[in-house]
Amino acid sequence: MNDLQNALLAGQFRYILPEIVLAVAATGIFIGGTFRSGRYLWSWAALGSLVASLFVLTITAGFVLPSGEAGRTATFSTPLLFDSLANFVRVLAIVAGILLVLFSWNEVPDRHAADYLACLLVIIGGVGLTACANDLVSLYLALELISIPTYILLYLPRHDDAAQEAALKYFLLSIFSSALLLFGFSYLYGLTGTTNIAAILHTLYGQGGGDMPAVAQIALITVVAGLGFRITAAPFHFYAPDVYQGAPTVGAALLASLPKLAGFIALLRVLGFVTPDGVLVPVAGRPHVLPGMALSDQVPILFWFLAAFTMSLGNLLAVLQDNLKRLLAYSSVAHAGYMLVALAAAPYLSERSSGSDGVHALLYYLVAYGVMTIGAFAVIAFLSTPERPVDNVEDLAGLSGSHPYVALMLAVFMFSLIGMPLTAGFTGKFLIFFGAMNVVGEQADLYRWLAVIGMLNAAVGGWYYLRIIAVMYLRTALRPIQGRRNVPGLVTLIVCAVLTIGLSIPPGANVLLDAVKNATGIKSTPSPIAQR
Amino acid sequence: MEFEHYLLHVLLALPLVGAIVVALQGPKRQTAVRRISLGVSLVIAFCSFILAGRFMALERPWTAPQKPTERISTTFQPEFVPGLKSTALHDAGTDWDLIPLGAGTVQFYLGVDGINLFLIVLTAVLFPPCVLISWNQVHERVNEFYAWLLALQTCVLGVFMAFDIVLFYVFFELSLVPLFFLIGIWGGPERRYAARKFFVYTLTGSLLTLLGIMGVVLAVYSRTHVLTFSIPELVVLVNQQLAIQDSESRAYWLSIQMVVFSLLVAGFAVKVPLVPFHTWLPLAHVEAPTAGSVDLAGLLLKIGVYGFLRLCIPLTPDVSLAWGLPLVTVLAVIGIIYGAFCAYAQDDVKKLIAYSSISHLGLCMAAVYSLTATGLAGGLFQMVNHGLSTGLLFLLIGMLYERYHTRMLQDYSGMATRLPLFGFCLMFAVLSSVGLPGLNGFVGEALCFFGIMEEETTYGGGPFFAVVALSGMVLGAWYLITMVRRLLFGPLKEPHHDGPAIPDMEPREWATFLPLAALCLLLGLYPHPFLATSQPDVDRLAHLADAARQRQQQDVQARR
Amino acid sequence: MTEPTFDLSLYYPIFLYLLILLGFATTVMILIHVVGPRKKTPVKQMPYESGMDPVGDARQRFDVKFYLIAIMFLVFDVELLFLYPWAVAAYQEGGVPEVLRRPVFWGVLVFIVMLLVAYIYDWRKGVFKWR
Repeated sequence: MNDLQNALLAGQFRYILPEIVLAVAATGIFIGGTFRSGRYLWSWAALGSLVASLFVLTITAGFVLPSGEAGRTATFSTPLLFDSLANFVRVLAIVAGILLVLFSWNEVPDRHAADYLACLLVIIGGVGLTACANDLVSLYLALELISIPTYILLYLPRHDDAAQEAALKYFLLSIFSSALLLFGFSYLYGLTGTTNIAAILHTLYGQGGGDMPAVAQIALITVVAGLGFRITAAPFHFYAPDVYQGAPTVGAALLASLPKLAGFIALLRVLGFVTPDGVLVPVAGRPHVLPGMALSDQVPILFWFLAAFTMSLGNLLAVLQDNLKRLLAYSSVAHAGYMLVALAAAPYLSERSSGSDGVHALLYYLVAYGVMTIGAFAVIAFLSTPERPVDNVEDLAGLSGSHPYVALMLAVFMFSLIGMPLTAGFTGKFLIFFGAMNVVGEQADLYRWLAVIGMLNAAVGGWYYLRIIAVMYLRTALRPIQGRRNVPGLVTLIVCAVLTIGLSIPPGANVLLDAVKNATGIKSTPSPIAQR
Repeated sequence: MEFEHYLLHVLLALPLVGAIVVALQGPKRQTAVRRISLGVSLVIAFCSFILAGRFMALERPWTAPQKPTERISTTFQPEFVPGLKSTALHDAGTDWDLIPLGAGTVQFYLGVDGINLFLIVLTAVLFPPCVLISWNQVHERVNEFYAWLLALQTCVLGVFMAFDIVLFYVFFELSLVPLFFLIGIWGGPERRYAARKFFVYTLTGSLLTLLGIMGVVLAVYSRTHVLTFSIPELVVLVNQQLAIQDSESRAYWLSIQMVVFSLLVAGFAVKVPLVPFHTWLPLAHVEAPTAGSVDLAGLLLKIGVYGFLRLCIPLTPDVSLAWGLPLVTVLAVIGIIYGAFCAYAQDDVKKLIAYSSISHLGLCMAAVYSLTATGLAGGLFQMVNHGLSTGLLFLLIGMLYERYHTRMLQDYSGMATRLPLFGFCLMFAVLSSVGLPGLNGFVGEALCFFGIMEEETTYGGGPFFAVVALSGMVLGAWYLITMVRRLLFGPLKEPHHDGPAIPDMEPREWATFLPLAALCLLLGLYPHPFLATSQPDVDRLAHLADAARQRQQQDVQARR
Repeated sequence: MTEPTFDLSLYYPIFLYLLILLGFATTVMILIHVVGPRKKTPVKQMPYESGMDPVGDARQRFDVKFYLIAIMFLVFDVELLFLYPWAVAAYQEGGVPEVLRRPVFWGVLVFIVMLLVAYIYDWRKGVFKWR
């Protein structure tokens, strides 16, 4: 550690002010909750701190980052990096947090509201830090910052058997996945002698993907397995249906959105899909390696199988479900599969500029998926009352008669999940499969088949999503749904519905696409300063 | 900018605005809802006639380029494009950008040419009868019904007008949604299953179509570094690439065309439907309300054929010739015979007409895939014919069902004595459908047969197919006339009904019947304006097919 | 090579310490006997009063309250483990570098505050109440 590195390290704190704001607010709410209970007070506090955090983020995003030699040193030594991808994800996390706070406004019991909201704030901070992580240790800590409050959050609002089972199941399997992740990290450290992700990638890249020691494959597989748990990629998905079903609705919405975001960002970082300048520098005499393949040249084929397996399994099992939350859990697995298609194609697309970069498509789809899934869960929460819970698909019968506008919004979410045009789901799928079709060379046929598998899956998805729409519109209820007055819940719904449509057509689509492109603005173009 | 450039927007936006207005009326104000819908659909029909008039007045000469490599740009540009960069030079698509994707941009690119003009008019003309026929049939959630009906019209018009390949797909896919609700809410006893089956069947196909669309766009991009979604531009670029005499390029494009062709066909074949993919159709037809059946048979099936004309043939001419021609023709001919026999076996009149649609559409597809100028023109003409005559048949069956609440043939007999005017109308529609000279069906079928006869294949299949198809038409006459005999003639047997005597055709019903019947007569007696207007565009398509034929012969010679 | 001289007198503090220790223990024992109140119940007579049976099956349940106490203890234990190296290295040559001293100092302070917060949280949640 030289003086420059120390100075850079000392300078990192001001960039994580948004997360510090969230942490301070969370602490305050934890303590305050022991003095005064009441969900409205603490909901306002949480909302305020999220907005404050967003505001602080706009300021810190303007801070000058170290550049030149200092920038290079920062890349290879500091535990956190604040590139545009990090800022993009942090904004997403905070916006998702705002939606989830509104969502849970009337869902959480008064007694637990403060604890619940404080945990939520910590999770949002954790997602933000995951996006910034540039070191295996900080990445792991950030991911745990997401996991640990999640255990509490799943347990807090409900105490029945199902909720306990869900919390415990998630707890045990999450710990298991963390262990796997750490195991992989230790191999990465053993291979390269550093925990800095940029340095690891640089070192491995210098060796050229082909003749990598077998240890790298083990590291790759365990890291993907550990993160696969968070993104619910099959075969690491099996907890999802039980946990979603048992968890409170808002907890399920959170599980479906934030860990997925964090998991995919972590994959992008660790496997080197997105790297800062000067990391992937070709070495003379070594084969040229594509981004994302620094660890192993088997990465795309691994994701190919993972994607095909995940989406097929998710969709086929979703067809069999009657419970709404279980159905959405399997749908979440299926959508993870579509996102993995983007990752599988990403290395081959990194050098083609037809607007179908796999990482862009992935980020777009993450946003689209988050919006429509949170919306769908929000509808379930909005309609459920203790006297007449909405658990099964059949419980939605006749919704179009009793709640025409809510039914319309749920229909929008479902059509978006199917991938009908004029919804964000369509644009996202379009970008992903456009990317898969855009792969050229030897792999072209392989990826065309993947696209065909994906489209057939989307059609299977049509069957069960359509069932929900059919139940709402084509059937009448035996016991009409009552619903209740819940303005914040309604606001969540409306925001999600507006975003689902708005992000698919101009100008919303263009804004999001630009943001996504800026997020990965740091291109991995080789810089002249070669050897470190 | 002249007012034609707004006309397309009016046509597209009017039904949508109408749908929103109608939906907001609430379920109570039924009469207002019906009147607004009727008014809107009449205005649309009127606009479409103006459009047709202006288009027919245009001078659109076209001569085929002599050499295959000669630039054939500009020639696929449609007319009346809103937001055209410059009205003088028709080669740059439109200015109305939607979503930029890297180097290219998805555009809001609408237009009219000889292929889609009459389909647009057909769409506009079929809707006022749909509104009228539902006047007394639909009593529940009336506002939603008409809103979905008008939304469906927007989608179908959008499919026909779109000249941007992604926009085309967007409308193509969106058209499922209104019909899903129309069948699912206002349909028969099996409506939920029918609606879901219809939706998922067509969704599966159309998602694969989307991949095909991406495939052709990206193939053009990787070869020419032009990323475009404009159909005319794609057609030009693809055919320029195809004309390159280079074995590597030739092999590449053959494999790409194979991929694109199979993906596109997956969607359109379900929509048409070609035979193994037809099982959703009878179910959807039987369960749909009358207006839904009319739209389904009259318009939705045409989208499939239109997809073949607009995308499949121009974008994959070589594979269309080498594989599509035998494959599609065989399937279509099987469909003609199979549909006819199935239709004969039906007791449910609606199902009978549904199967007759499979049979008729088979003829259409066989003609289109003869890939000759005559066959293409015949197929196009037959699309419009089928829309009119099958639309009429469904409307008339709807009227009968409204009176007696049964569609089973064994419940009826000798109805001509009870409802003579209705009998006349049904007879007219049946004769139009079986191709009586003097009515529209005859012209279309004759052209189709000529087209199939002309078909030049290496194995001389044309005449054979034509004979089989012709026998299919004889079968068509057989089952339709049988239906008429059982329904209208013989000893009188009236289904049980409550209340006063059943009235014959009412004024409202005449208003649904007469305009369509008049068009049938007009097209049957004087088809020339229609054929002349679509001639240049059909010739362009045929030219592309001829170029593909030349290339095929060159390949055969080279192999020798 | 001379053996290091062993001078027992140099080690007198240890003996002193031992003496005080023993003295304190003895005094306390005596004082307990003299001052403390006596109740001869079976539980009171057990070697451990905390509810654990010294003889018998090891697989027995015991109150979750003990876990809470154990966790609270661990927190403070680990705190010491964490603070001690910092205190040694903070202002030493070769320890925490100059530029990082202030951030690290504040970090440690935040750490202590967090413990305090956790302590207050426990207290308010009633962890210390022996219900």
